[in-house]
Amino acid sequence: MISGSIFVLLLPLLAAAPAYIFRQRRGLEVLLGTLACGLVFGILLLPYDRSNNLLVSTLDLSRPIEFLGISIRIRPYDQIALSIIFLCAIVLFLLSWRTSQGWSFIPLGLCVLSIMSAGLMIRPFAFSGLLFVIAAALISIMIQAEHVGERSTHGAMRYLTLSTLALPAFLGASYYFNQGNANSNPETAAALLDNASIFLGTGFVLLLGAFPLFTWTHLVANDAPPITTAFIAVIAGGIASFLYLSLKQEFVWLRNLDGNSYVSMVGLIMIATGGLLAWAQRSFSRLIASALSVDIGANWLMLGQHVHQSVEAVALNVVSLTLSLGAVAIGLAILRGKARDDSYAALTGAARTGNNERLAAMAICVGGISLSGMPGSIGFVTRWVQARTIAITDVELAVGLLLALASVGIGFLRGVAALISEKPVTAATNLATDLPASLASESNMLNAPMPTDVALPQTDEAQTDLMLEAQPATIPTNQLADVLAHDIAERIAPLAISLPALVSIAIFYFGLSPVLFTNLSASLSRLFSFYR
Amino acid sequence: MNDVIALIEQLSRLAITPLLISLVASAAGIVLMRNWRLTLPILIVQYVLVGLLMARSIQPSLALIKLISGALVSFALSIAAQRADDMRAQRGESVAVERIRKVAWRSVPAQVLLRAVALLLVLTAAFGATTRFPLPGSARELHFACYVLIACGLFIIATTPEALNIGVGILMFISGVELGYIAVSANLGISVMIGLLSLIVGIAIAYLTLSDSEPILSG
Repeated sequence: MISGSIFVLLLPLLAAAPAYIFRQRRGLEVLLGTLACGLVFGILLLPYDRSNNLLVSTLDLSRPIEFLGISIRIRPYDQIALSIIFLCAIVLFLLSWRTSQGWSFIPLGLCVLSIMSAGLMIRPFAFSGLLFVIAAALISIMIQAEHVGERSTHGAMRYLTLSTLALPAFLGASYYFNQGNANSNPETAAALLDNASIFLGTGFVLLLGAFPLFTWTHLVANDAPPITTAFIAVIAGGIASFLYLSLKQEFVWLRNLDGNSYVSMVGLIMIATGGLLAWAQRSFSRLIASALSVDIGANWLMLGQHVHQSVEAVALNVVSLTLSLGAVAIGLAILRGKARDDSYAALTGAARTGNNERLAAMAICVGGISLSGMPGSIGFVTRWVQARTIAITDVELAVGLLLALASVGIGFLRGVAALISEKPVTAATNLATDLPASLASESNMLNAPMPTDVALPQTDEAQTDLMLEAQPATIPTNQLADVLAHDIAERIAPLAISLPALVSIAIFYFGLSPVLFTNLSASLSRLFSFYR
Repeated sequence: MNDVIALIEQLSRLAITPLLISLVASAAGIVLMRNWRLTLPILIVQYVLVGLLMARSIQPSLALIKLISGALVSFALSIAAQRADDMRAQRGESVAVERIRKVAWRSVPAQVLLRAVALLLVLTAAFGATTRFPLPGSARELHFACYVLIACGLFIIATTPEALNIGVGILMFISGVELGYIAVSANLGISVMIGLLSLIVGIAIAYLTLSDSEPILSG
């Protein structure tokens, strides 16, 4: 009989090697990554409580792997958590098909998936901390894969440093947990387990980046390719969140942190910081970082709650973040790939430069709507559950969350407005300064509106070309209808091709995915019992 | 291999004071000097000292893992640092070996003095932490070593911008954490895993060191 956890660990690792070999063939690389995650997802869909016949052997999802006092086992709630994670990984791998995320995205992404899944399933939990730091080391290479500048290692180093700082917290919690279990005096044992909960809480705060100053969000969003940022937020953040829930289910003492005012304060500060910064940002990467701050804060508040909606909200958040941040990321990846910059100033008018750019702007718009939790998007489902759950205990905090989300929405509105607005024309002005004085005066004249029947001055050919560039073209009235018809046909043709794709994406975003993922989240929340 | 393990066992039985003094000196050396041609050899020495200190609490064969992983990490880092220096030299920038040959005596005292003062504060804080917040467990001699490595590692991480130096700080921090954990509860699995962790973190730092030296392509 084969343990199910072996497949979860080995399939991504085995696929990582050929994905690395075929890293120059993006289509094949994406196919391998998607296939590996799809296989794991398929295995995780098998019934948990009975043996399943495979081709050569029998597979038992609940069977543990044990060595050196370590146990790796899929628990019932891990089964659904991992299903969600691998499904999200499929979406992110597919999104990376048409944009360059660096050589390491899929090979190392698969390794990270395997290592972090091991971190979720392994016990004692001290090993989870160690495995998360190993995954963070690989993630730091993924962050750096784009090679855009000398100062760009800061994001990778910050992420690695913060994850490493979580290590003593996990080891300390493990020590106090062992001491507490071994102690026969109930009062001393309770005090030791309290220490363990504080250490573990600190470890998770560091792993999730749930503190406002010197955290990784801004640097990583700036340095990493956009879909890699989404991968880190979704996969690393998601698995850490699921591990917290899993430990809360197993250890009663960890529930001491629920409703703790300090824990709530961490979430509140993250939401407030993200909300205060988001609307005023001038680049998409910084806006994404601020939106992530709000998201991490809200997620942290959900982890500290004691009701079943909070579990649903954590699971839904992983999913909605994949779809909303994934959409923003793919749009941004296309635009950043061309402009080599993601500031609003550099991308002004980008949506008017081509069909790809138009679709990229649309993706950012859709993703932004969802990320800010606007009604009609999958992000709304999550934010609504989060706001309702927070409002049970603290209405003001729920209002604060909504305001922070509005701030994120304003940030995206500003960004999208820059994308679709006209780029300021400076060519004629530059021409005037570059040309000799006599020619410049002629060029300045051209800036003024000119009647169509005025003949152009007789100059040599090059000068005429320059002047024609600075002057709107004039079309005879009898040809106007033909030109308009041709222009409309040109615009409709790509739309006709992309319309079915857009409709399919819209159905998935607004119809299928909320239903699918809401069901998965509800199933997950039913498997936990700590809130009962 | 048995001879090496026997040697580690014999060395670990040396008096604790010289070992601790050597460890503090190695940490101070790394904090004061930011030149990889000096810091990486000191880092190897530090791994040897950490291995010997660990051998006082756990089996010497396990302490050997620390020595081997430390040596491999330092080797990988030195290759990356040399390659990065080659790239910098091609661009006509200052490299480590030049800074050793032609020491800028006018700027060195100010830099080193500042770091020395900060180092004194850090060491005082580490000593204070050892007496005020002693770690549980019987191996008290390891506590000071643990606090010194953690404090110096954090100090380096907080004060340097280069990937290589931050990486050295992270590795010192990990050594300190390992020493502290072994002092309170020796565990075979944890020791093996921290050895693996050091290796992978070392490889990541080597990659980031190379990236750090690449020329600006945009932005």
